[in-house]
Amino acid sequence: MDTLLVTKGLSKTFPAKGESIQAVKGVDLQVSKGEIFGFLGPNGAGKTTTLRMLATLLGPDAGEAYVAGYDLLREPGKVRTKIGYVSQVGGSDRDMTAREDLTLQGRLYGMPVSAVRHRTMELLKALNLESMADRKSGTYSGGQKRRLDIALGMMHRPALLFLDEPTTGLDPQSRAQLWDEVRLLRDQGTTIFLTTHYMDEADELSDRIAIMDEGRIVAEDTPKALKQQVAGDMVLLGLTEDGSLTLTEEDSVARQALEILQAEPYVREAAYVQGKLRLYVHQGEMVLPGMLRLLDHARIGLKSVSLSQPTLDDVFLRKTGRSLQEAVQ
Amino acid sequence: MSFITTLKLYYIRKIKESLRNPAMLSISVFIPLMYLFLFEPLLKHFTGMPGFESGNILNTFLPGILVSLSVFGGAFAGFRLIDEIRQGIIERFRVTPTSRQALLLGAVLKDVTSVLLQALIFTGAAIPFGLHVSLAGFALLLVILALNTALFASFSYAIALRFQNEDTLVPIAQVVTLPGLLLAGFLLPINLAPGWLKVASHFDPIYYSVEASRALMNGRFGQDAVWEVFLVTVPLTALVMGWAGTLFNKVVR
Repeated sequence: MDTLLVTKGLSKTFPAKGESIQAVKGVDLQVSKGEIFGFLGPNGAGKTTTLRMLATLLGPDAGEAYVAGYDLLREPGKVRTKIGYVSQVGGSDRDMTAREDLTLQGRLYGMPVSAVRHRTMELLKALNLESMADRKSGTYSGGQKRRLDIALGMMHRPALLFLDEPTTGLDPQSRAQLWDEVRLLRDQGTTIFLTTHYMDEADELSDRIAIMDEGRIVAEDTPKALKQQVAGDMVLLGLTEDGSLTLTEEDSVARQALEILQAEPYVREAAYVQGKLRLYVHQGEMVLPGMLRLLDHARIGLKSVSLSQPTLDDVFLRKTGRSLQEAVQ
Repeated sequence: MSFITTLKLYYIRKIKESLRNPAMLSISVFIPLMYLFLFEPLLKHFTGMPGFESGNILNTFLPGILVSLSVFGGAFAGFRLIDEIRQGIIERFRVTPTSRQALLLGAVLKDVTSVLLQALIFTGAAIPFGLHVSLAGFALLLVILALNTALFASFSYAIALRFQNEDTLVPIAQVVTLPGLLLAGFLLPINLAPGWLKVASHFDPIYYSVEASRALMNGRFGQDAVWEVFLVTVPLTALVMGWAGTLFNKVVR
């Protein structure tokens, strides 16, 4: 697997009144070619600062990085030829039409005129901007403007595209559309590095993620692996109808169920709590049918079943002691 | 990609931006014409004053007003830059493999173009009113106007980049422009001033532009101000442009 981006000990400190603020404290990252890499963390975690360093906009104070095959510190000019960058505010000019802005962008990358024209048409089509291509982008909706901003970042076919909070401020429909577009870009060979404070964006859209908090990476892996590491899936089994068994009977049924299930290799923890069997299992969706069959075989009646999977918030909580939702201002 | 090609791209972008704004275009023609129609008629009785040029009164007044066009044309250029920074446009350009100097120079050249056009229109319109133009002098005058515009535009861009805030740019631009022009004697020659004021004016770079412009418009190539203006303005412009160029390297939004 090709590594398209690797950083070691990347750091950035900002001077502030009296003392300095360490925004990024020694970040080690690795992004493979062809993946969507999500950088999740609350606002102020240092994600945008890290992104700006990788996009050659800010000089790191320490550490090193190789981006798209070039040394970030020694050859920033070459890095710029291989990356695209879409900031949080976008970068499109509200007084220019999409076509004009894309044309300018292509020419800035040294693309010949005919290539620029062709690529502009290609992008306008791919990102659904054809019908408004000749209106000033100031008249576009939020979603349309965001698509134009991405088109601008993609004009020169970069190997690596940086997206800073790409769906912030978008309505759910535009968000879903943008996700599809990002997936399509990935499928066509572009590696995507995005920052987000949305859990679902890290979880569902990203192939691998890193979680950042207060300038440090606290976790890095696929969303699935991270969640599994934390607790496993939680299965709740409601045993009986209320009042149909005496307390002692209920107790003994529960004990029996626990004994059966705890023998299974995929069960990590099990307890009987508030009328329900609470089990933490490995890969809940796969093992649940088997569990139900076992209990059925032992003639243990169930009145309810629920399966919940840990969220990235659980991961964040485990690693930092705080909830991601609390940390979001 | 060569510096010249990049410069052309940024310059043309700025020119197109001006052309899209017909209000701004008409104002730049409007102001000179207002001077000619509303101010010039009041000057009929001013001929023969000490320190004034011989001949038509416009030969005394017009050069200073041309310099004021370059000062105002440059000093307020930073506002659009602040807007561009806010939109993330500057950050976007910085990620492309293009030169930051080309970005700055493209904007400055557009400001120069704008001022030179205004100067041409104004001077042309003043000739029927009696202005007497030394052609060779006028050509050199245009060079001085270009330099002056570059100086004030770069300064405005530097302030815009440093503070990224209109509330800071406005007072700075105002302090630098009108007091600077008055001290330079742009309307009435500073020769008429008392001693202390005359001395103070020598510390104002605009003074040299105004004196040189008046000399050149009237064909007096021998006057000291004509070479002094380059001695003062060229290094100052280079310094301020260098400063603005460095600040461009740090813009994040």
